[in-house]
Amino acid sequence: MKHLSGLSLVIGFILICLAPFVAGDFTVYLLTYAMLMAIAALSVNLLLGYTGLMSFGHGMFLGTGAYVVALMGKYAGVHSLELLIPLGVLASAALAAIVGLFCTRQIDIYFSMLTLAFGELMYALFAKFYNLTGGTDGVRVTTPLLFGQPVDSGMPYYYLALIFFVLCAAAMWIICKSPFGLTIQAVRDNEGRVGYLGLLVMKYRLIAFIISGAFTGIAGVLLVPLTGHAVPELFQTITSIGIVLMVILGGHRSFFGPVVGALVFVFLQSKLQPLFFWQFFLGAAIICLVIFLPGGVLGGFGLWARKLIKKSS
Amino acid sequence: MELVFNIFINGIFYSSILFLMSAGLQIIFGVLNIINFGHAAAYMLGLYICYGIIGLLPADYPALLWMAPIGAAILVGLLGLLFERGILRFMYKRDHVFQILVTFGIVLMVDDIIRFYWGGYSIGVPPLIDSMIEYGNIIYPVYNLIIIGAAAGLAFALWFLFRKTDIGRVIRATSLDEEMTEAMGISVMRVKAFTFLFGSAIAGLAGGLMLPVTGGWPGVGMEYLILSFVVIAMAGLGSVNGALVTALIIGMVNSLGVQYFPKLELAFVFILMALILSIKPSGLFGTHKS
Repeated sequence: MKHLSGLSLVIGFILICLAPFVAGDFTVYLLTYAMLMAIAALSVNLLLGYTGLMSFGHGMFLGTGAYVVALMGKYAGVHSLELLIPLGVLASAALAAIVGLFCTRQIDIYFSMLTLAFGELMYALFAKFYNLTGGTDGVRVTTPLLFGQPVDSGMPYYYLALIFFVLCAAAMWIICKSPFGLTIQAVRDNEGRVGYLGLLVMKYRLIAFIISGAFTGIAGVLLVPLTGHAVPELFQTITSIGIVLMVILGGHRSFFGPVVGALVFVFLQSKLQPLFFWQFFLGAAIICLVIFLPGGVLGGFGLWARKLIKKSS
Repeated sequence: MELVFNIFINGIFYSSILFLMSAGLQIIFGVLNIINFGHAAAYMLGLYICYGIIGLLPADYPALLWMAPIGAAILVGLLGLLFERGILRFMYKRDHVFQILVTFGIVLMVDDIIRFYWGGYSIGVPPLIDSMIEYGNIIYPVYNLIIIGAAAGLAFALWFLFRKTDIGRVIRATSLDEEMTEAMGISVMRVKAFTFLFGSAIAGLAGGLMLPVTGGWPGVGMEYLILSFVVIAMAGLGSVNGALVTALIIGMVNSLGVQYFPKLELAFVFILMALILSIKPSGLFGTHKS
């Protein structure tokens, strides 16, 4: 079982590395988009799968990262990514710290509702201060620079996104396997006992929230040069729930589930959105998934693989 | 003087809508232990069904128009029952977060159904009564007063239902202890179904009543739902009395904000919520431990 998942990981990685040589422009665009959303999905899963908190407001960190790029470009003339990424991380971590102070006191639905409310508040602020933020029209973003060189869309940007995706995934993997990662899993499973051990449960939740927000901020920073637009819709609940759906779709019980979920979601979206009934299908998919396939695609695949191994042995 | 009165009456009006929305949410949470995102769908359906009924009614009898919001409420209640029996009841044993996702799924579906059936543009109708009350310099539409009256009526009706009737006692018993209630020979399943029907019908009524005031567009339900979330989080989940008090507070804060800091009206509401929740995480009237 372990060999099987390791093998599929390696094959998947090689496929992703070689993809731009065989795939068309639009597919490369979608893959880039999916990888950035996968960073966001992984960080949401850091909360959902590992800490046991479902955030309905992670769009706000995506939006913060995006607007750091847009506003710095518009007002300060900064286009270099080596500056924008730390700034985006700082901004979203700061926002996560403030919002987290209120939200991580709550658990369960209370947490979900509060994050949702804060996300909508951010949306309202960015939509209403239109002199500064361009309101609902958003802000246009030009080609970013990396060490003085422009990173063109297409293949160069694809590999940039890939590098950051691998870095972020590795960092989150290490975090999940570290003593800190084990502690947040303990908080998820039995908060009371962690408290009895003398650990401050709220502190661990808050730190997990900040880390998760910071990683989503990176995704936000890298997302806007790809789409060319920073729009306030990024802050909205529908974006946040989209990310949660990617996590559930892939399977929140496994570390790489959200990555699979993001890929499936982005490609399904690109196929279905031109149709009239995209939201209808999305809603129906959510309901069917939650009722019939609670482990997500990877969870279902794991069950199937285990059955297959049992049969053959 | 007019300014003070305007701020006051607008605040009360806003509170009334918030209460109409959040009362149903609280009742459903109290019994089913589910935060029902589907309330946004119920509100929206109420609004559009009301629009549909008004289109069907003969225009010569204005008094008949009042059938529209009531008919919408009944229909939405029945649709809510369908949703509860068809989908939601399979979720009672699952994690809260998954229950939320399912109720959110239905909002997305209803959004698209409405877009398909009524189109994506916004709709509107004239007020069912277009007369104004005039007193000195103060002019206020009668229709808005009727909505305020409806909210007050609902608050009274709920108090009467929960405190003075057997149905209310059964509902309260179910929300306190399901097993014990079942042991008393009451079908908890039926109580849950009825509660969901009732809660959805209130949201449908709210939508139908609001149609002449705000009009409607796909996605309108979500805006009010998010504010109702603020109300119920601040009040403490499950408390209908708390929802009434909190709706009044938020309505007033919002009305003051709109008057003096129009860009920050929402921010004030959220800062107030953040303050209250950091002092008392369970909300003003809440009892849960966190």
